[in-house]
Amino acid sequence: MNRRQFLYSTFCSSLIYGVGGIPGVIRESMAGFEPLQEKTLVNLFLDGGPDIRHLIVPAFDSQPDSFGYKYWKHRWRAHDLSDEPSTWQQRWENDYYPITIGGDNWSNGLANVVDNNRNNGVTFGIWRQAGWLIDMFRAGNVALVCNAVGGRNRAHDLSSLQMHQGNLESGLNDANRSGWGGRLARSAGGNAVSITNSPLPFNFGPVGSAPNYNANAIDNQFLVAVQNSREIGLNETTMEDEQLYRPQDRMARALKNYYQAIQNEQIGEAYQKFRDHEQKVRLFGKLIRERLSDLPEPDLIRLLRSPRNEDNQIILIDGQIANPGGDGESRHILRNGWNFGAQIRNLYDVLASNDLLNVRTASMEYRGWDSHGDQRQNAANLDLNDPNINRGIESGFKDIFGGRFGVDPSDPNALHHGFSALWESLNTIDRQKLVITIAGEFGRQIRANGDGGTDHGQGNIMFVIGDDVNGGVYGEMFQDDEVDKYDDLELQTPDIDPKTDLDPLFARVCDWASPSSGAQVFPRTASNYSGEAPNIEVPNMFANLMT
Amino acid sequence: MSNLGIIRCVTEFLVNGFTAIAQTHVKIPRLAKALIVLFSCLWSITAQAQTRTEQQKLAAVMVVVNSLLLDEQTVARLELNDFDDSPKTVNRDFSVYLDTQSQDVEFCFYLSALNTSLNLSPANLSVLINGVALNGDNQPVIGENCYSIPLALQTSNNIIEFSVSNGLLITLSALGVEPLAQSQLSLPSLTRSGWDERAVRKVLKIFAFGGHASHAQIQTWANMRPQLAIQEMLNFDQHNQKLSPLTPGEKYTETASQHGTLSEFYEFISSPSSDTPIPTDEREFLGVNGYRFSSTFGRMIAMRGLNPFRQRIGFFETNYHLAVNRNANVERRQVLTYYDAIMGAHEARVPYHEVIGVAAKSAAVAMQYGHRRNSCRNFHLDSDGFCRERRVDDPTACEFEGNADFAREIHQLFFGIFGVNDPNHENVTIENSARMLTGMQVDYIEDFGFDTEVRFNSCEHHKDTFGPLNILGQDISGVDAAAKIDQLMPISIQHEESLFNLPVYIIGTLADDSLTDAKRAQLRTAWGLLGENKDFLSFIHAYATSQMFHSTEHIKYLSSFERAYYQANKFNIDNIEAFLSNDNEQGRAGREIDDVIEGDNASEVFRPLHNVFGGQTSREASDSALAFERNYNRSATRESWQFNRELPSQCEGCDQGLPWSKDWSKVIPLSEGGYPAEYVAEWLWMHAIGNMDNFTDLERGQLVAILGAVRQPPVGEQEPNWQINNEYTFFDLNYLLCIRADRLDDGQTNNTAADLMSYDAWDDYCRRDSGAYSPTELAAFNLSFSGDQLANSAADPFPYLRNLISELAQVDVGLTNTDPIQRRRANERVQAALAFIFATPFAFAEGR
Repeated sequence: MNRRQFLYSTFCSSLIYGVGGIPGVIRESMAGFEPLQEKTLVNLFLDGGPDIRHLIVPAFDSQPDSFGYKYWKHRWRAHDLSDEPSTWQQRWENDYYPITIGGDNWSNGLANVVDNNRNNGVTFGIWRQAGWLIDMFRAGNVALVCNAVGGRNRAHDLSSLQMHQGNLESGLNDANRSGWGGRLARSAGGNAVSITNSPLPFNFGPVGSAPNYNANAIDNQFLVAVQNSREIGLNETTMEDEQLYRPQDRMARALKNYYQAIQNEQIGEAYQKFRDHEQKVRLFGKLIRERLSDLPEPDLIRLLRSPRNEDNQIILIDGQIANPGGDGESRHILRNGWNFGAQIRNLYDVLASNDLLNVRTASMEYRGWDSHGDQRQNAANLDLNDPNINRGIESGFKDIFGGRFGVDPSDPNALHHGFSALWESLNTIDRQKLVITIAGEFGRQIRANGDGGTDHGQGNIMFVIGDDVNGGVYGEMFQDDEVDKYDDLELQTPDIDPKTDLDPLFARVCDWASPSSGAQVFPRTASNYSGEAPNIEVPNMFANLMT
Repeated sequence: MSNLGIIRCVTEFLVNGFTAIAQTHVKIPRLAKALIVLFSCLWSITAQAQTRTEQQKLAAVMVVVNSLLLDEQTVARLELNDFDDSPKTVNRDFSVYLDTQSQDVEFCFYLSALNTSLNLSPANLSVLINGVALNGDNQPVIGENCYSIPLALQTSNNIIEFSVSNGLLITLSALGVEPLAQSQLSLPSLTRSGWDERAVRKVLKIFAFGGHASHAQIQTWANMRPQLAIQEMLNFDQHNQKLSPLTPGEKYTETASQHGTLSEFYEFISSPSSDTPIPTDEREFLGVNGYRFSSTFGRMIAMRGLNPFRQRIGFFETNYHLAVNRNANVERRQVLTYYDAIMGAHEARVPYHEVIGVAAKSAAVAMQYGHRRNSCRNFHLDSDGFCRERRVDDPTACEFEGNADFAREIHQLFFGIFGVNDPNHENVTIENSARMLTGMQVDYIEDFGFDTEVRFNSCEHHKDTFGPLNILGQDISGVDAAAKIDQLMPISIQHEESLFNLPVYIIGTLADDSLTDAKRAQLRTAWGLLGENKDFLSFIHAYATSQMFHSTEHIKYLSSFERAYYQANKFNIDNIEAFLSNDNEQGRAGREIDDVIEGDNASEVFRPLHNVFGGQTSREASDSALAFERNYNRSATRESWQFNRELPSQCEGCDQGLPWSKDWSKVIPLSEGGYPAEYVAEWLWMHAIGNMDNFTDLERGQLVAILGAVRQPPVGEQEPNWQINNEYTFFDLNYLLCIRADRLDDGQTNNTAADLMSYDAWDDYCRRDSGAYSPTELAAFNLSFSGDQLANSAADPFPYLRNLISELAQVDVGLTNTDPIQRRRANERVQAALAFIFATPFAFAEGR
């Protein structure tokens, strides 16, 4: 019988590619929501290249040479309109909340960081059903970063990889590099927590204590995956029951003892991940279950994916069914409640357990943004809160940004959707320790294609949201040269000129989350970086992004 | 050997480097092929040279003599690459001749002894290669034997002489000689000495969801030349009787010769008139319109008689490489047609670019990407079928209407062409590709849905009169989209980016999560050597038998799909289990598939998680703590009824109203007339994991406890019915320690395995007598120990535990017990042992 060799310490196995042991300091679990110990970054990746120019649009302008005319002239198909300008105007007036930079609905103190005051007087609109976004923007908590770019190659897989890794120099064969979330967590001395179905490369940690940008190696020692926070854990033996009649307990015991036995044995690289999963799921599962044992899921969050609570009772908000259908039947809120709603729940629970998990970054995703065709659907269906209606990318925008918040919401009757429900469920002190970054891998072309959609482009708008964000507009909102691009038929694939790489933007957010981490997480922003510096539209434009 | 005075050296066999080592005779004992004993020393070459002339003279004489005097019962002549599988019974002398070669060669044979009571020794079996005796560690063993014959030691006529004496009777088979260093498409290949049961099982695991081949068939393949075996293992026929034979006594046999396409299988499984055990009123659920549509594909993979390799590649093509997604308006019938068209092209062995062309021209892809609506608006096909001209701004150019989605992805996803360093990729290639993809209508048919085929419409298509479409630097023309696609495909596959990326994508997705730059370069070279008309299957064969795939550095994680399908194939024995892998009104038989995939949040087949970018990747699965958790908890489930449900072993009325029960003796060969627990544990581990790398004292101890702790009924009286009905009565090691601890407390010092398993012991001891387990019992339950402690510790209870495990290892599991209750429990213990194996880390990946 062969014998495996022993490891001289479990630390050894953690240094091998892609493997992690038990991270951080494990604290005792106590029931209830533990106030956030540390600043935490939540990153929402919009997979597929979201057309943010559908969410945030220029004001309709009847002058044919204006940006506001050309946009609608070349976008009416994507908005499921006719080629009649009156329908464009109607759409603008009915469906977009107008904000004029420095003018109407522009709150005092909002940032407007751009060369030559180019944004002054520009009117844009935010889709009205993104009520939480509108309200948060007006409250000064949303930075709209224009002309930003994840990847310039217009290929989903490569651009996504670059986006996750925070490394525009990565190639397709560089999948085994660390992610910027993993690097930030490492710099901050905490853990990267994934709350998606499978951890995104954003979370993958670097090898070694000092984040190494380009190392072709991953160490996931500090990655914790919480994919279903309310059911996480390995089944254990129940010694309160007679073991003779419980085969499941006998098997659970055999497996538990077996895994304990192999923890310190040297097994092949291919199998180490699974041994570490066992250790983490068993430990964190137990801690999280204990923490959440008397912390019920907030109704607003539960409603995102189910109209009933854990006791199968219909959830009432202010004594009313939250989202009644035509027949009075209660309905859940989100179109994608099963996935995104569950992620919001996971996020809430992870934040409640932040001290146990030592969480410094949390990773989310929302898929379905590759809108080559019919990106607005079922516009004629007026039941705007019916979660079963597929409205194209508008369903996604609403799931993420829908709702209301604050004392002067754009629509005080709107339903709380994803982040709105989360925000409403957190206290103000915890909110101040959160920042949310939202971006996709690239933007889309500025002209709609002939199929009611938009094809791949480059530049886009990215979002940074949080109480400590100096909200406003960063970069030129609607670039002048786009006016010419619209009608230039020689230009087959007109898009938003990308002017700001993700490095300087997210490096600044990293600095907020963990002082001086930005240059470690994004080495191209370091003052001593010798290679090509990242692009930025206005030098030092993010200096005051965070307070 | 000794007469050549060669020093014996022992080294570990390294697949990637062994050809560089100067060698003389190499012997690879069948049971330990990973170790090669090398006899090599430089000074010995002189001695060899001195004797070679004499050997050559003798050999030449012997050739003449033997050709005149000996018949084929005593002599065989082999040419290079011959493989002679006819058995030769030898009771005296037998010689094998082969001409001198211009290279080092490897000579292999399979040796079996007909009178097994005699041990092989130089006294009864002498083997000489060119007069050099194979002694000591080089003595042939029962099983496969391989020897390398370096060029330096070859004569003009090489002779391998077998001499049998002292009553021994042997059979030689699988005689073969092949080059010692081989390659397929420039990929260094395994030869027979490196090709063994482990290698065969690895190929089956990665490329055929494990397949259904019998233990004997796997042994046969392991003893063949890999290049021959792989032809039998992996082909695109609809039925592969060697890879997927019917189990002896199989009741549902139609799939051995029918229902081999996906469309046919859906028709078969959903038809009320088919001969299947599925209740007739539930069959429609599995049909093309049924709510268990995706479940049917899993059944097809598990179904014996079909070809799981075909399904493996079909799954790869339609869910990864050329993925379409039912969530993206692709209709079910379109999916089936798409799958069958692609696999039909593979079966016909058309060049791979034509296979991709089939996909590119399909209705499923036209629905997926929406280019079915792409058109040049200059003309319009009216409802009467007339092509009418429209007024457009510039009638000399195509006024394009549509999207550029597939126009991009036909290059990027289908071929790996991103347009790197091509300034014309975005504005020329993609835009012109969108125009190429015009006039590809998918008609809506009343009461049917969208058609399963594209109607190529030259009227609304980009006409050549508008000017050539420059795509990838080439002018593409043709009357319709089909003609243009056909013209483009051979260009695309030879594009430098495609040559660079596509072979890496294929192997990286199918089989290798540990690709390095060096490996990628090798794959590209191999792909390039396939020429303009690339044969996909040849590429797979070359890779599956390559040293790269079988190297110690290779890692492949299993996606949730691969693990679910593989485990089902390793769990199920016969077709009733494949048919009834979901609950139905009568119960369930086989291993659950759908819940595994769904539970892992891996979406479902034909609804790839990443849309056209493919389903859940194996790396994603490996990084998913949820997938691990769900798989673990499937074995260590919360409830007893769930435990039974996860491991179905019997069903009252599953078999068309008749009872069905599992019988592992159908597939596990007897070992000396029985089923000792250790033998069954090893068999199951090999069956489920595919190698014995990690079958150590720990695994052995846990498994022989589950298998060998056979509780005995009361002596002289009937076992109570409630105990008879108690299912899954196995014990874990700690439970046995608990019984012993309780007995020791009670002064019972005899605690052999038999003592513990007597009715008075297992039924009376280690019970919650006063509402709780005693501290002693709990300590025994909770004892955690390392492999080192288990193997070496002198502290109690480890010496006892070692003895107990040794005793349990010899206990017959009872699969052929005449008592049906005991037989049922024996099968349940086997199932429980498999459940344990499936929850270990080694069930999630393939590696070393």
